[in-house]
This record gives sequence, C-alpha cells and structure tokens, in this order.
Amino acid sequence: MKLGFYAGRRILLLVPVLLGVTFITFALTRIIPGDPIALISGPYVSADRKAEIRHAYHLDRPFYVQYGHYVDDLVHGNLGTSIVSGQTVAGELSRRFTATFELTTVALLFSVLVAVPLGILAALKRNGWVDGVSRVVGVAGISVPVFWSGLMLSFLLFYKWKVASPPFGRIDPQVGAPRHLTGFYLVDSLLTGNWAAFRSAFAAIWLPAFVLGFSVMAPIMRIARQGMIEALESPPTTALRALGAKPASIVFRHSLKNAMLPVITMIAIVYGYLLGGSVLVETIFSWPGMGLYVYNSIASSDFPAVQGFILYATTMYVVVFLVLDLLYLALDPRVKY
Amino acid sequence: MLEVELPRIREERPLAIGWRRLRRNPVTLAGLVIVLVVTVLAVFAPLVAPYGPREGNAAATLRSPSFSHLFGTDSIGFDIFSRTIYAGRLDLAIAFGAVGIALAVGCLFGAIAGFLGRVVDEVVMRLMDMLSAFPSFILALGVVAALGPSLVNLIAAIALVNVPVYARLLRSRVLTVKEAQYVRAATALGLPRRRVLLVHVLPNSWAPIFVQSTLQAGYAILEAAGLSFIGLGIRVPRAEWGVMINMGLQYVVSGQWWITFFPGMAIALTVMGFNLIGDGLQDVLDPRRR
Repeated sequence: MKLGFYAGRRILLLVPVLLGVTFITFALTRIIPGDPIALISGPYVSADRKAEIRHAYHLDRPFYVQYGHYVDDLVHGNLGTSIVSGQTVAGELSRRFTATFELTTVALLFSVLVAVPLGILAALKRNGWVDGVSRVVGVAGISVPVFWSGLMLSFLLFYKWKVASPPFGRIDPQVGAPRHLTGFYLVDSLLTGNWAAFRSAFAAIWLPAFVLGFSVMAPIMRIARQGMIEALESPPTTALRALGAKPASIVFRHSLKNAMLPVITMIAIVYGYLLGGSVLVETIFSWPGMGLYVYNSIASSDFPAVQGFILYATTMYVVVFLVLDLLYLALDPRVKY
Repeated sequence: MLEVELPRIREERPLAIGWRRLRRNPVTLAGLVIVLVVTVLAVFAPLVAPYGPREGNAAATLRSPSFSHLFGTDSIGFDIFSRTIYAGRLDLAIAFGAVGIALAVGCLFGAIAGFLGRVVDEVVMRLMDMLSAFPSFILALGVVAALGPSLVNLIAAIALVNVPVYARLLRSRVLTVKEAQYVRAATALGLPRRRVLLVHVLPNSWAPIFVQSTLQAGYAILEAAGLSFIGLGIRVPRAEWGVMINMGLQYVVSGQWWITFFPGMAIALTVMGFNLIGDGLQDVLDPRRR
C-alpha cells in the first residue's frame, strides 16, 4: 500500500526527467550545422517548396513552439521519419527492441552470475588469491574495448577454431526464428518447445553477451565484495557469531540479502553502459537490434533515426533504473518512505 | 636534572613523501608506469616510430608482422607499429582534453551550486540530472552525430557527458567543507567566496577529483575509440586506435588479425593504466576498501 503510493510518486517524477531528456534530444537538432531544410529536402528544391517545408516542420516558428510540437509528437508515439527508409523511426526501433533487450539482459545475467559469487568469495578471503584474480579480471573487463574483444574472439572462436557460431545475427537463418510470443528468441523457443531454435539462438547469443557482460563485471564485483564485507562486520553478524551460528549460515542466511541490495543499484547504473556498449557489440556481431540500426543510420547520415534512437534508448534506461529502484525498496526493510 | 631527549622530527620534502607512499602501492605504480610510457612514446613518436603515420608503401600491403614491420602493415601499406605509436597522440589528447574541460566546467558548476544553494543549486543540479539520465556513450554519440565528426566535436561531446560527475563531486565537497571550522573562520574574516573556494575548498578536494579523473580518462579513451570506430569522431585514415581497428575490420575474416589486434591492445593497455592508478589510489583514500 505504502509502497504503491511511493511507486506512484516515483513514476510521476519520471515526467520532469523525461521532459529534460526530450529537451536535450530536441536541442541536438538545433546544433546541427547548416540549413535544416537543405538536410530534409536535398539540394535540388525551389525556394517556394523550401518555404513550404519550413512551414510544415514548424521551422518558421520560434524554438519553444517547435519544442512544443516535438513533445506533442512524442506523446503520440511519433519519433519522426527516417530519411533513408521513409519508415517511422518508432516502428523501426520497436521492431528491433527485443533483440537489444535480449542481448543486454543475457549479458547482465552472465555478468551478475559470475561477478556476485566472485565478489562474495573475495570478501570471505580478503586479499586471498580469489580476491587478487577477481580484481585482475575486473580491471581487464573495464579496460578492454568491447568492439575489439568481440572482433578478436569471433576471429579466434569462429574463423580459426570453428567452435562458435558465425557472428551474423540472432539465429541460423536455416533454422528460422521461433514463433513470435515475446520476441525473445530464447524464451519463445523454450515456450514452443522448439529445441533446434533454442540451440541456434543460444549459440548465437552467448559470445556477444559474454563480450558485453565482461565489460561491466568489475563494478558489480566490487559492490558485491564491499556489501559482503560490511554485512559480515555488522553488529548483528558479530552477535550471531557469538551465539555460535555456523559460518555458512551466517553468510547465506543472514548476510547475503543485505550484501545484495547495493548490487541492485549497481546493476541499474551499469545498464546504461550495457546499452551504450550494445551499439558497438551489435555492429560487430551483425545483431539485428537498435544498436546496429543506429550504426547504419549514422553511416547514411539519417539524423532523425539517430535522434529517435537516443530518446528510445534513454527512456529504456530510465525505466529500467526505476524498476530496479522500486525492487530495491520492496526488498529493503530499512527504507521508510 | 632530568634530561629528555626529544625525538628528532625528520623533515621530508613533499615529493619524497609522495614517492614513499607510492612505493607501498604497487597497483598505482604499475598504472603510472604504463601511462607514462604510453605518453612518452606518443610525445616522441617521430623519434620512436620507424615510419610516418601516413607513410604508405603500396608494394607492402597486408604484410604480417616481421622485422621490417613489427606489427605488420594494413591494406594501404601503412606500418601498424608506427601508427599505433602516433595514434597515442590523438587518443591521449582527447582523454586529457575532454577530462580537463569537464573538470573545469563541472567543478565550476558544482562550486556555484554548493556555495549559492537554493534556487541556483536546484537549477544546476536538475540540469546535471538531465544529462546523466542518458547512457553516457549514447549522449556523446548523439552530440557528435549532430555536430559532425571532428576532433574538436569529439572532445566536446566526451567533456559534456563527464561534466555531471565533477559537478556532483565538487558540490558534495563544498557542502561538507563549508561547515568546517576553518572555512567558517575564513568566511567570518570576510574573505570573498571566490578566495574561500580557491584557497580552502579546492585544495581539500584534490584527492577525490584526481582519482575520479584517472578513471574518467580511461573511459574517455574507450568512448573516443568506440565513436571513431563507428565513424563518429576521428576519420579514416588518420592514426587513431579506434579508426585503425575499423580499418582492419574487413580483414579479420581473411586472417589479417594484426591490423586490428595491435591498436586494440594499445587501447586496453592505456585504459588499464589509468584504471590501475585510480583503483590503487581509491584503496589508499577509502578506508572501507582495505
């Protein structure tokens, strides 16, 4: 009940944040050097036609009126029209959304499943060898550019050793996509019992997800380690120890939950890095998501598409952040709201 | 009469103290050595590199690493070893430039917000919130896509996404230090705010700002190389690590791995150097991390 009230307030608070975001994406169109009309219409257009276009795009009005029209369009789900394909940008992005969401989610799962246990082990044996190794792995992860590690790994694993699937897309075209239920190939193929599709989708996703997930392991590991250390050194834990609780019970039954709460916040933070990295990783693996779309749009100077992507991805990030924040609140008994 | 021999206090010069602390912190030292080596190589590139950054040899294209071309050559016949060294100039310039600008602008905003408080604080910090609502790579991508790819625009974009980090950092420092005795004393003595800020607040905020900057510099290189890789930023065929990886992209399939491998290693090593400095210093500064 109280949580519901708080959640409602948090969702309302999204409105000013998103307005600010739209203001910045709107401002981006204003800093494009040169005449915007020439950009839209091309060079071979009469002055009359140019004036028409100027009017149609509200470019003859002051900027706050233009901004108003922009927000009005957005509220109606209109992200503009791609210069290259003539399709609506919102439609193009929505079609690719699940591919990107599936990739970033699997990358995140991989990252958490490796980083959290490593962080906990590192906390239990501080300055031991696990601590040292996890630190090296973490620093390597945040230092290696994803577009390079993706390239080099697919060179070794696919071209040289033939153990990975080709870095082209989400599924072997001969297998074909599973029946559309959620849009996530791994989930859809499982739900429909389509094992061939599941195997092919998994073979395609594990390498890009590994490359992407590896790049955000360090912060998750660090926060898990720190959370565990703090939980182990807290007064309740000392009391438990004095009462003769078994070490395993202290770690798993009592400390783990408290240690994991800050991990949720860190996941929310690194999700932005995952979205940014997905542009590069999707390019390397020809992954048909929003990142590959924006890469192609950049190559063809399709600015409305790029602008739409920025807004779409940022909204996605803000929403993921909110959901994780609410999850944190639901799990943490200490927070009073 | 009782004679007490007072222990002699050894006076050490600040540099000596710094060195002693650094020696006890091998992680930072390793990072420092890496960054220094890369910087020296970049600065003295013309002396170290056997070829120029755009000195193509049409008779020797796509050669694998050998004694005459340590890292091999690319499809134009450029020497990868020489270009990898020259590229350090651009990538380090972008990192230092972007982080330097972000530091100056961000600290200014943070100081203004922290000192003036109220409406100014609210406006500045909400503005920073808007900027940090974007995934930073994606905002930088948008800014360069709008302004057009160039060195200056790339630096501006990366500086912009880093501004909120410094604004928040300095604001929180100002808010903490503002209540400290010596700052209240300085204010009570009637020193102008600007002086209080420069003489009392900034020197006390040096450490966290420096640590943050090393980490940001590492990430700035990744962002710059990533943006140049997708065609936003430095353009082909200039010597920049991301551009070089891009130029080798199509040849990875046919087995010419060295075109991409070496510039990528250069990025990884340099960024790791910055991260090690920051990571090691954080251990020293943050008692919780020991």
